[in-house]
Amino acid sequence: MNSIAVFAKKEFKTAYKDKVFLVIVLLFLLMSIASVYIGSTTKSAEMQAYQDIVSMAQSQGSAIPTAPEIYPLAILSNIIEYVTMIGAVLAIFLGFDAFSGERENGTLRLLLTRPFYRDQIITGKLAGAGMIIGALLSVTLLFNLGLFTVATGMIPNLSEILRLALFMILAFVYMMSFYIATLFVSLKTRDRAFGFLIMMIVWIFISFVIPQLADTQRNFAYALSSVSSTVTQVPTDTAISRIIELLSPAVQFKNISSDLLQVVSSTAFDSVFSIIKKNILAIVTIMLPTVIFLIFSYTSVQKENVL
Amino acid sequence: MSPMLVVIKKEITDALKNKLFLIILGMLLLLTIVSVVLGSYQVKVSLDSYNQSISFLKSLGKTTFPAAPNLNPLSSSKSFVNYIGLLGALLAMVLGNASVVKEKRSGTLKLILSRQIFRDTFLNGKVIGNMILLFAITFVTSIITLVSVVVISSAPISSGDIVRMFLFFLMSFLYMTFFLVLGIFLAVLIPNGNKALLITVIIWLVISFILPQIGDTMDMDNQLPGGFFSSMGMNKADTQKVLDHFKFYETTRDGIEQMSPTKHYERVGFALLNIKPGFEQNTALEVLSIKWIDVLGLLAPSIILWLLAYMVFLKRENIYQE
Repeated sequence: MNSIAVFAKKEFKTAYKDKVFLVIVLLFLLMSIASVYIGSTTKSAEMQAYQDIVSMAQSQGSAIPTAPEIYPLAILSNIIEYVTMIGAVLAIFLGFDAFSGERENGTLRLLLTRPFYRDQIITGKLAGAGMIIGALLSVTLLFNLGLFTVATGMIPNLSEILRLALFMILAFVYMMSFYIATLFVSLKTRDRAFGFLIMMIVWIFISFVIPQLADTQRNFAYALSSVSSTVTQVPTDTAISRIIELLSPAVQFKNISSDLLQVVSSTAFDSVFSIIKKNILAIVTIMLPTVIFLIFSYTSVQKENVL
Repeated sequence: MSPMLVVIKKEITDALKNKLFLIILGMLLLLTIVSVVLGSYQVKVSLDSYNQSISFLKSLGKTTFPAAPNLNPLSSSKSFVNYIGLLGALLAMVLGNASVVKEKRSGTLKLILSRQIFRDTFLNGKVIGNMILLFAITFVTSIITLVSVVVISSAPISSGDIVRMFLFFLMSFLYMTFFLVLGIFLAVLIPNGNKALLITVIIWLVISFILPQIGDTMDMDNQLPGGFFSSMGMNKADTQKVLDHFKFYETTRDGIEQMSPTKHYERVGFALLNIKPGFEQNTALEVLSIKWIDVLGLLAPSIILWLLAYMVFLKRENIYQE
């Protein structure tokens, strides 16, 4: 077996021996599965409420409102939140002691005396993490497809399967981007808890603070426009809020995923290719930091002070 | 100086030397200033625009003027609720975990426990020292907020508003205290400090993000932008009639949200800051008495965890081992 495969295998095995990691894996799987149930319960409650509204309108002799549009994949839309929240944290859990752990245990020094290149350690760890995240998302995809069929009584068509598969690929890229950034931090920090908390701060910023700042700017623009009564009274995206959001891969991930999982009605029946074309900038925003951190990791591991 | 005071003083000095604590604190203060200044400026723009309209109408010789818009100067703290929910909680967890783990790692816990200090005095010193830090942070942010609102927004602010604001910051303090005590409890309970930190983060993830997210998802009115019931052209009374048919569903949804101290903090915070409509006519204390369940939801878990931390810390012989 070549060295990369040995590293990957070791990463895979070690991760599944860690009880805390297993807890978060379980949480991710549980929430991903529960999201289908929550989604279908909410949608059926919404339809029941609509029936009540129709009965009420008929008894009062008033106009019957149009039925709310429900798209099949929207039932699975909660999973977007779980990938953004738990998925990213899971990737941080996986990577925070990838290097600092080896360093603290003294195994890094031992590894570097063996006959293989340093970049193979990085590649092996990436392959191992990729296998873990990939396996997790594959299980989630299968569960979701099964539960979707059970909950809706519908068999997903080719376009829906394609959308769901593309969402999972995107989720994989998103989670790996957090893993790669954490791997880099782990290379650079001596204390694993410090590295972990630094990544938690990064996660908070990407997932919550930047979107909140964009939201504040949107509301501010709304206040300005509503008092001057010049433009629409509904808060909408502004150029500044869009630029702020470009700094957050989490927002970009949510935007593309919302299109893929039919949360947005305007793109609910678009082809997968037109969704990719529309969101190309968002995809670049997710990929770019990943590539940068990957290059940094490969260059950092060559330095002597990595020990 | 009494042993407890020594521990308190040491906790504060240690925290001020903790790089991570200082990074998170710096970010929290920066974000608070940005959000409060922007919020206050937003109120000022609305007020200026209204005053200009009145001057214009006066110049036209009009004697009747439109009512002043609802300028709620307290709403400038809206983003602060989210920042405390995220960075404030993380800050408190870091403090709580570090306060116990650093003593275990450096071997000082063993040494301290061999001295003439009771274990409960030691733990009290740890909790109180960190609570003083959290109180100082909330006090400073409340002063920054008050000054920004008064100076930037120029909106009239009553004594009632000031009381509401201070009570809101008191709730923020209670919220952070919960995570502090959680951090201490898990660091005392779990021998491995890193594992304790990871488990604290998982619990935070569940109670601060997952439970509120499930509650929000299950909220029928959240299903469409602008509200499901509004899109159906329904008024509040008709909406209530429909919701009455979903009592079990709504109770389940509410029950899920009640399990989260973050949701309790958000509910009582938004009521105090007049962000949630319906509390404008109440005094600050009336709001607290209406929202007593949310205050209890913030207080009770902290007290229970504090007691549990005592039980573990006083009973376990190998408490100093990592």
